[in-house]
Amino acid sequence: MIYKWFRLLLLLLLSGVVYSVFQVGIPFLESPLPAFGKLLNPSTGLWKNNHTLTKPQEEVSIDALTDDVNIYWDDRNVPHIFAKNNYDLYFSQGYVTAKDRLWQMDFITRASSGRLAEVVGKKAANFDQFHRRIGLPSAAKMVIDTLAAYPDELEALEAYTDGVNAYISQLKVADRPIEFKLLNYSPEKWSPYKSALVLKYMAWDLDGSPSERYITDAKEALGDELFSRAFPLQRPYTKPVVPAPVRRWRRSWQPNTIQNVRPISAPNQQFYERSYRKGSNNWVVNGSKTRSGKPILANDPHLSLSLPALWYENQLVSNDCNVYGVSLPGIPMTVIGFNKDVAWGLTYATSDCIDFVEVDINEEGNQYRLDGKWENARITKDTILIKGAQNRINQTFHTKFGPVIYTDTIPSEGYNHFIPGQNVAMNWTSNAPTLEFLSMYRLNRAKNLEDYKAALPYFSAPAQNFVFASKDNDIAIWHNGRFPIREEEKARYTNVKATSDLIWGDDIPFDQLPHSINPAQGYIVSANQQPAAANYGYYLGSDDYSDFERSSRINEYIAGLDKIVPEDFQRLQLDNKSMMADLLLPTLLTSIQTMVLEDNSLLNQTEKDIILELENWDLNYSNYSKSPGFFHSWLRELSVQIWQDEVKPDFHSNKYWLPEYDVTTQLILTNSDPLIIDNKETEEIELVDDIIISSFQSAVKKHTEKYGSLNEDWEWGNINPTEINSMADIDGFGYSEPLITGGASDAVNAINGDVGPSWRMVVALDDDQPYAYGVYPGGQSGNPGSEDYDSFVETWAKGGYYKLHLFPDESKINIPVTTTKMIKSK
Amino acid sequence: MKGLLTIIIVALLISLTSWLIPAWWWIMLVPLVFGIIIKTKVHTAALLSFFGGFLAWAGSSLFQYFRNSEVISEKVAELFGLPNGIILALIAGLIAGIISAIAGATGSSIHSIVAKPKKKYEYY
Repeated sequence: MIYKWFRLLLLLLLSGVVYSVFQVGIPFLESPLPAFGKLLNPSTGLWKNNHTLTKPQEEVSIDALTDDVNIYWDDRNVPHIFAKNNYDLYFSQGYVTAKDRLWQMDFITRASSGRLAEVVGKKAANFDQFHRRIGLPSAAKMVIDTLAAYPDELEALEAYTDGVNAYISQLKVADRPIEFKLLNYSPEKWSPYKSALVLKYMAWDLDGSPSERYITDAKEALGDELFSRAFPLQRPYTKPVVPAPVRRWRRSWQPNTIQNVRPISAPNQQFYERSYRKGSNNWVVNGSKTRSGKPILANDPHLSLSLPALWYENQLVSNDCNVYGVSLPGIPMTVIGFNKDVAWGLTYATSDCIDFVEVDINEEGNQYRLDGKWENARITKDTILIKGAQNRINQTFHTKFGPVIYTDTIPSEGYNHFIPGQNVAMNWTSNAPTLEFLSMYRLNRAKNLEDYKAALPYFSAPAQNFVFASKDNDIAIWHNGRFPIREEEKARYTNVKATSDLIWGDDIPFDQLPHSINPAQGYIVSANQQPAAANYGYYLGSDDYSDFERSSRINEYIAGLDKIVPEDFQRLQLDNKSMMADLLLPTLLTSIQTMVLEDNSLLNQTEKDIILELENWDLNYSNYSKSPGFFHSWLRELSVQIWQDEVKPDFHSNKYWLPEYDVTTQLILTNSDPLIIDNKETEEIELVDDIIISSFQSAVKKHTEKYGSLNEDWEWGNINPTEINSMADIDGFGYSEPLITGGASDAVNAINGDVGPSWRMVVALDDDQPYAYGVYPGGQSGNPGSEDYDSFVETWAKGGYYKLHLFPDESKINIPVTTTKMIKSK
Repeated sequence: MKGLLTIIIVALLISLTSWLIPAWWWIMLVPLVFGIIIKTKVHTAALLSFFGGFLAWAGSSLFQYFRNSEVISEKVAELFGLPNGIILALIAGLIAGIISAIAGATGSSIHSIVAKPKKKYEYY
């Protein structure tokens, strides 16, 4: 009998363990195990996440609607939503976006509000803490509080919220997106606050640059004079966004001559190289350059390439709006798009919108030194819930310059660009009650240039170059966003003394921001390059502007074209030409050829083969070309050899920001500064030719060590493979087929690994209806079990486009559609 | 023959109950109840429950795989490092079988305590 009881006890224990493991998974592991019971269950688990799940329903009956809504799904599953008023429109947009992208919406708002660890466990705890500390959740709250004064836009957000929640409330467990099943949690109710969180996350994604810290170091490493040569505010070869002449504005502040800057550094054995990976192109031509006599506008924002895709395509129609474009799942309205009268596009402004201030904090941790006196800080506390581990209390120290985001009192590995012990506050334009939703609402409804100008001033962050065209033949661009008026000395570097004059005052007035309306040349180009010429009065700063390459290629291409048709701009968006190679390579090759003529033994056979390869290069970043990868290695080696001996011997760090290649290129082409060219560490005097040959040979050695001798591994597609990964890094949920695309971050077709043109759009306006084309690397559905998850990827990779249908009204729908009737239930 | 019938009944019961309330734990509850009310040896109950659970989950998963769930199954299989979705369905069946076996054995061992043994030696 005892044996039986013992056996029962053991079996009950085992059953209990099995039940809990399969019910909740094992959350405390480094990679938590999912709740396999729920995940594998044939009646609610992964098997249910097939393509039928996200198929449009024929009819939905809904209380909250004020009238019936018709949704027409075209052959690519793009919804064309026809509502009779704005509440019903945004309700329906929320409903269908949730149907296709619910998990993505949840994931981004969790990332933004620092609540990822709640569902993925402790590996996200530092990520969460950092995102709370930089102030995304509090900024989103401020946005919603401020919106109370703007009933139309608030209604849009509330209607969208109602629509998302109507979808969630009817969602069965079996029909939940697969990621909820993998991570074993339930969808949460949506709210306008969450829409604001999505916007704030995008702002940080673009604005969050640590450049200020590294430029401060570079200044110390090189000394003031050399620094200003190495890191000029006016970048060589760049044609600014705003074509000359730029109106000069009077500075409203007095230049401060007091040096208030001390470099801050961490020991590190590497070069800091800033990444150009995220950026965008947009351009517009007016009718003087097009076949139709009407403007054509193009835009391709370069962001993370992921599945589910970043964008969601839709047409939104109500009594006062009929717009087509891409939306960010989680935000009502469209971000980039067109209607029958106007089209607009965005590129990241890249101007300086962050200031770092190092603060002294007292031992009690409640005061900081301001103007030499102790000032009380505002301390906020919140709790980070961590699945499978103990909660963490997050304490944020707020100063008049913003929150202290870098500090060693709380762990932040992976996020800290400063050294432990330094407390660095961040002033950021987006950490404020900003009103971007108002701009979007108005742009969606814009009819002409005046509407465009009226829409923009509400847009603060992330600042953008808003390119615009109307069928009235107006074209424009505005370097638009919030830029506090600051002098270079304080804005460009990390400030080590916390003084009141660092607190931001007035912003650059809207009408004094760099902009251009109907310039004489008939076209405008922006590609994250510097916005205005040297005579523009205000400091806009930024050591993050892109160099001349993309913008000059676009300028060159458009200048040489006449009678432009949309296909011309499609070709331009796919252009892979390297302008740096175009500018520099002939000089490099001529130099080497001349040297070889003098001494044939200078190069070995491999080196000669590589020179031959480069001579035959068509200067395109094509997938199978062996030249682009090597050219980059050479460029880097050139830069290293020229600049590494310029660092002052007493510079305290081993980390050093290599000056940009455009500056190095200029130095070589103009041969204007033999002292910089010369390697001070040798007794001989090196000339440009010496550096060219030694950098070439050294690049050959390094490139060969890495990729073997000139073989297929040298191909650009191998060195810079295009990847579309899962948004949450879930193995198997990314795009697994090889992608043959070409492109590079310096080419117009700016594909760099898993960052690139996340939406390509070309819109040709016309008297009646615009002709529009677009494609994004993903699919309308966020369901990995649906063919619509990645259905556009192949077309995108091949450089194809889809025709975008802006139907003037329901009776004009002339393609096959599937209809969802959203019926107002009584 | 009787064993096969029992397996099919357990599998059917799991599937039917899941259809009413779509919870995974039917693969525990059905064998548990089966073990409690039907008199068998503990290891026989475990064995029959194993095959019942396996049949219910592997069968249903494979059916759905071939009907319309191939794409998602392949992706989840890749996530867990499995060669394909069919293996995933079979492993799901195997896991269900093991869980059912534990539950069936538990039920049967409850039975052996609650029910009055007629003759003690039956167990030896």
